[in-house]
Amino acid sequence: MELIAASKHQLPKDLDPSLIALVEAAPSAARGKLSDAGFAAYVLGLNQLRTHGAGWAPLVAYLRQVPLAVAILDADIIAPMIEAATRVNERAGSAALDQFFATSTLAAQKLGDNTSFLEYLRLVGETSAVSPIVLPLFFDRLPTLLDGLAIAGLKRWVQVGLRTHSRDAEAQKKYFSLDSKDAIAMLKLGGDGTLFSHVKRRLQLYLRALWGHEWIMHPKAKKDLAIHNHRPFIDEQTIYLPDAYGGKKIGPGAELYRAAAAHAAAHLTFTRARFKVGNYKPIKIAVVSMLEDARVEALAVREFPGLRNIWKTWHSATPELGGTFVELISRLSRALLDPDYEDDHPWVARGRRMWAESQARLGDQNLSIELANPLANDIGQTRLQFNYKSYVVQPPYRDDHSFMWHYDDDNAQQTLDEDDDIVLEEIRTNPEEADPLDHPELRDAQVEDPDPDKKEQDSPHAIALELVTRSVDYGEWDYTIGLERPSWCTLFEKQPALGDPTVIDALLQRHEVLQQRVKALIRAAQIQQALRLRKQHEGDRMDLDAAIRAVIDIRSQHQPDPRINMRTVHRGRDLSVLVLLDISKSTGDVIRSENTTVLNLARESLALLADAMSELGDEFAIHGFTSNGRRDVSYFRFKDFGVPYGPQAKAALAGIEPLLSTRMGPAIRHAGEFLRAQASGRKLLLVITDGEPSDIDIHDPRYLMMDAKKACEGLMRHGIQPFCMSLDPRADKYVSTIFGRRNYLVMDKIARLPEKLPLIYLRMTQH
Amino acid sequence: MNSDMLKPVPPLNDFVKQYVIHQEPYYRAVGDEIELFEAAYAARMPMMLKGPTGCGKTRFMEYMAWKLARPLITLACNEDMTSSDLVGRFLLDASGTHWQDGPLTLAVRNGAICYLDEVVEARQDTTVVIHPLTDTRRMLPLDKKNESVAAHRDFQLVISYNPGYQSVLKDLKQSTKQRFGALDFGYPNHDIEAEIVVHESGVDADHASKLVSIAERSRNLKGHGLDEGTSTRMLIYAGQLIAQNIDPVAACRVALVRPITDDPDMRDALDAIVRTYF
Repeated sequence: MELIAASKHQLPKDLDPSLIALVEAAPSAARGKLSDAGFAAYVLGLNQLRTHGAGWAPLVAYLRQVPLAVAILDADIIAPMIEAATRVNERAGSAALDQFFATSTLAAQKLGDNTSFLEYLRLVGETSAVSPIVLPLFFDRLPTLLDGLAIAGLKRWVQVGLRTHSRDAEAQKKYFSLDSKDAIAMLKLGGDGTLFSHVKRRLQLYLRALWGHEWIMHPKAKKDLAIHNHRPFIDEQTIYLPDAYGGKKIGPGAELYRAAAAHAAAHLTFTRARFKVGNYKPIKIAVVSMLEDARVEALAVREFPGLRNIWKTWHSATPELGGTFVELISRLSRALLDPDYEDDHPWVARGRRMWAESQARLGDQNLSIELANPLANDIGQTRLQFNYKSYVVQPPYRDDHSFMWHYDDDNAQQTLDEDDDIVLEEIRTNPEEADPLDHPELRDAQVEDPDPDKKEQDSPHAIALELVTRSVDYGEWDYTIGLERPSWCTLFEKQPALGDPTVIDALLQRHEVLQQRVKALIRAAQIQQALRLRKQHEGDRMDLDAAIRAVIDIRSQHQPDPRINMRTVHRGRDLSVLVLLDISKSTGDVIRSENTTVLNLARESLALLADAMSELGDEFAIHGFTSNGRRDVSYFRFKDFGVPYGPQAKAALAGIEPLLSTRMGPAIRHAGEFLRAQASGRKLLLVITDGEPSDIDIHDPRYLMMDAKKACEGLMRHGIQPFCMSLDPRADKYVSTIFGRRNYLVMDKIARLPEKLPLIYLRMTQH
Repeated sequence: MNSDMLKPVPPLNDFVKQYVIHQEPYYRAVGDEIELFEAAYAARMPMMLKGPTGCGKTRFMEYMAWKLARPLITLACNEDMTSSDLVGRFLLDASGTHWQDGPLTLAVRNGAICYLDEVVEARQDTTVVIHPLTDTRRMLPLDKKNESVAAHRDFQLVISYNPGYQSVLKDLKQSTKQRFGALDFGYPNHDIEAEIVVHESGVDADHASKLVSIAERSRNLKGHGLDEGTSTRMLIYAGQLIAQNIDPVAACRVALVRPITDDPDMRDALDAIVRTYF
């Protein structure tokens, strides 16, 4: 009672005694800051919280923190706070409520005014309704968040997190614990900007539409928080764009991404050689770079006039800007792009005049150097200072210029600072680029051994680790003697190594467009299965043609055909497919133009195909084989018949490693055994291979070929249809020998395998 | 050329007269397709017009029918079409039954050009009825009627065929394909296409040229999210809107972008392409 008496406020008489005790225990100094009305609201809130079942810990936090918050703002916030608090309590529980009150003073301090704080309360309420699990993490990180964000930014930051990961609780948790790149990037942008991952696809479509081919684009993350200083950079064929872009300091991110991507594409198209740095001074380097930027832009604008507008909006230099070198170069760069821009500075005017005079020579890259000489000299004479280290290319859409210079070795990588962190999971995009097979001279040169030194250590060791589950002996056909050598080869069934199943999902995601297209085709294929049976004895509708024919027959005194009905049946797909994958060493070869291996492409196509097959409800299995002499043919069962296509199968697919040689015969015979056990009416063996049969102990190329042919003939005797998809452009001859004239397809463009395989499958199995 | 080609042409019957095209349809030749087709017609060679949708196949056919002064009987093929829909069927009436010629039979008897549009849409067992017509026999057996109709000397069969993405599931039999000469139709080159857009829509040349550029860009996306690029027909629609003083960007949105895609990313990219020109 003493304490209460000491304060100027009176507690209501009807208050729960336990609450009175609690209020009394709270520091009176805090309470002293409240007005009468404030105090009443404060106690009322306490009572309400208690009624709503808040635990003791949050009540204590309330009593301690709220007066402080009220002191910063005012007592009007108590009622909305209680409202938000009840929602937090209901949805996220007592611990989160405790955190809510514990952080409330901080929030009040950082947000600073009632309106912002009310917005914040609304945000907390909404978040607790949408995704209560993130609230504890959110309150945990609130100090960091409020350091960087104002209320509008905070709202956007939360919304992006909730929206982007709306179906993935784990990803959401990562985002809110600031454990994901997206979350940090958004934070850097002040919650206000665009993430590369959101616009990547539209940029790719845009560039493809403009230039007619695929562009490789990757995000680039920087730890440096000054994101408005981030510039894209270009590598041999790859465009690296900041992982997040735009924001208040810069402008609308999606537009900036578009401008940056178009600028980079213009460089990759028109900047054909790199300039030698030699003994150029920094000022000259900067001028040459700017002129080269202007040159490629001018060339691009000639083709696509609208690009000028896309770029123009980012040039903000004006004559009022000032006369340092950095400002002058921004002004000139604007003057060269924007014909309406007026600037009478003599240096800018001179640059502009020289530029206008050399319009006819824009296609010549040396122009940039030639024009730079007098311009850089002028600057040199005015003794303007220039610090190349701190120079940031303007405007923001332009790349960092490293692409066009050939630096000496020691600073070659100067733009790839150590804190640059290229987001690796994004590496390798669409394998659609120019196909080497279009150029016969490249055909032979297209593959390279990824690492010749590794050959020694790879296979035997790896095989020993695998678990052999079964061994079977198979005969082999020797065409030279016209006889089968009995029990000539030994085949070991081995447990496949498991990889990360999410890799397969990621592959599917990358081919999302393709996957959707395949799905649409699947739907079409399924619909087509409705079959109209005419001339039936029984049916649900009359077959008008048959009925008329019958009536005519009756009138002309002939015996009518009584089958005058028709019905529609849905023919089920009675089909078993075994996909047999050649995983010999050669499938690990890198296709240079695609920056990937044959096996990877096969894996991608299999992922799409498996997806299609399971969607269609077809019985399917995916097996693989490789060999190391006739006594060691390895056979892997990645997915079996009758097992659903799930994480296990995906893991096995992800774990495939290329090994050894291609002895096809035993594998085909073994696969045949599995197919024979299937009850379906139609059985299909789909062999995917990248070369002709070969093995270490055989030097006659015809030998294994004839054996494989024999094995296929054996399958056909049992009603199994073999079909081969060859990735070897020179395969026609031997593949047709092995599989038969109509049972093969040679992929001339390996890169298109992921696209083609499901389609060919659909077509083959349609009827 | 066989001997009956020298006989005088009998007058068309009244029913077929309605299929005669009297006004010259606008057609801008892109290459030598008119001469080739005339030569093919002189030999009565069955023809196949291949090409993406909206590139002028049907218009070309109308033009050729007009030029050759033959009636043009067009049939849009669909999955439910049976061979009776092509050749004809017996119908019942008060006095008994009578035979009703189908459009194909009508053309065969009267020497019209029969144009089967989008022939892949028809089921393969339906399309085989044209086989005896498209080789040296040039006759159409009506098995139900016990009649074999010899083709009129002026009769010609033309089919159109869009070898697009869907052709994975629907394709012509080889035995059908190999009975036809084929003319490949693509989108015309920039200037010609712009000229066509100007003529058909009434928009000015500058706008037309930009529209064509936009279409060319969108055609780069075919197979990469778009099943088909923007067709000349769509450009004409866009041109017609612009000619009525609709803002070009809005006209393109309505006539070029929205109809061909529902994919938000694709829409964004195409909208940006439009803004690259307007």
